[in-house]
Amino acid sequence: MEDKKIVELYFQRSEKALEETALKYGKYCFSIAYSILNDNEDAEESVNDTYLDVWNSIPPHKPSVLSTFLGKITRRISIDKWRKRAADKRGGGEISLVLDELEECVFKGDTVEEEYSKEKLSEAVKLFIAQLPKTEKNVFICRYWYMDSVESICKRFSFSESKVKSMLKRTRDKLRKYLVEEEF
Amino acid sequence: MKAEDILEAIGNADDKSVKNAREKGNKKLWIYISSVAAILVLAIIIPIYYIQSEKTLGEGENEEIALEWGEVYIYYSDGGRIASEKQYLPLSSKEIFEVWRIKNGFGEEAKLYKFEIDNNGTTDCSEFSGFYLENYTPEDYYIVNITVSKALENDKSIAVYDPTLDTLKMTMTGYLDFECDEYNVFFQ
Repeated sequence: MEDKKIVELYFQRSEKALEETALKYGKYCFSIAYSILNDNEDAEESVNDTYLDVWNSIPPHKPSVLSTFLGKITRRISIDKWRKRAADKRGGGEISLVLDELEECVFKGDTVEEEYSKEKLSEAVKLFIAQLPKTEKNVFICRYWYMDSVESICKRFSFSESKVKSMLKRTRDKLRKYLVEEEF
Repeated sequence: MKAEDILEAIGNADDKSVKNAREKGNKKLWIYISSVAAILVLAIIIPIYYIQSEKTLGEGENEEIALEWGEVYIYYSDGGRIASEKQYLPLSSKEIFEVWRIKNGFGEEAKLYKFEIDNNGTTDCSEFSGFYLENYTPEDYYIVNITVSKALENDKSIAVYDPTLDTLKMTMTGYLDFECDEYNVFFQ
């Protein structure tokens, strides 16, 4: 079923909307949740929570791209779930590795930490991503948005492991430089 | 700032980039599937097209195509830095250029003369609406060529970096439903 029709079903408050969403995007959402949580049960739970969240947000929200709208919700819910789980025991999933890598982008100077709003940071990172060349952008998003493993990125783009790793490293360096310039 | 904050911020990347990032996968399989699909589509479309064109010959030749609307990021130079603003607009390069022009403080002398999408040497779209290409194939090489008036050319005597043309590129390629491989701007 076309995305527009699925969204219409949500507006009509038809439960068929959930069925069609699960049918079309269930695997997509699960793959995002599983990359973060590395656990079938938790990933399933995140996907179900995503459906509930979508049900509650459409209407009034009318997503322009349904897949990424669902993906963003799944990602957010899964990260929250990972945080709760991390309070007991950290580990598992690509997120730990991803966070270690992103730590490089955090400026650790001696200056007093600047106040910044998450909204401003979000806008700055969005602009940074928009300015990246196409391939770098795709690889960066696969790694840090979808949290795909380096191995799966190599397969997807037919690149060697060293090429993917160096491309990610270069982009992280650029991001770090950019965030310093933007005073974050 | 923590790494988690950056991770969270990355989560707000624009929808199109997120959607396109994973669509580039499985190159060989995709080429195979698209080749087979293209042959099948041609086999079906060509006879239908001829039947339809015979039927509609002489009817409604001057009908305007309704433009799709969508959320478009208009990038602009804000004191030497690139900033953006989301607007709901008709997905036509002409309309989007106009909003970009005003946002960047250019007068009416700044014009968009031509907007072309070149696909492997053939012009896929010579009209001003290039948002959606019916025969889009992700693995093809797409070049967006735009021709604008000389008023937009960077003043080379100024040594400071001027992001105006970058904002033009980001705006004019950002609204398209696909990622272009190359972008050229010509001045007339």
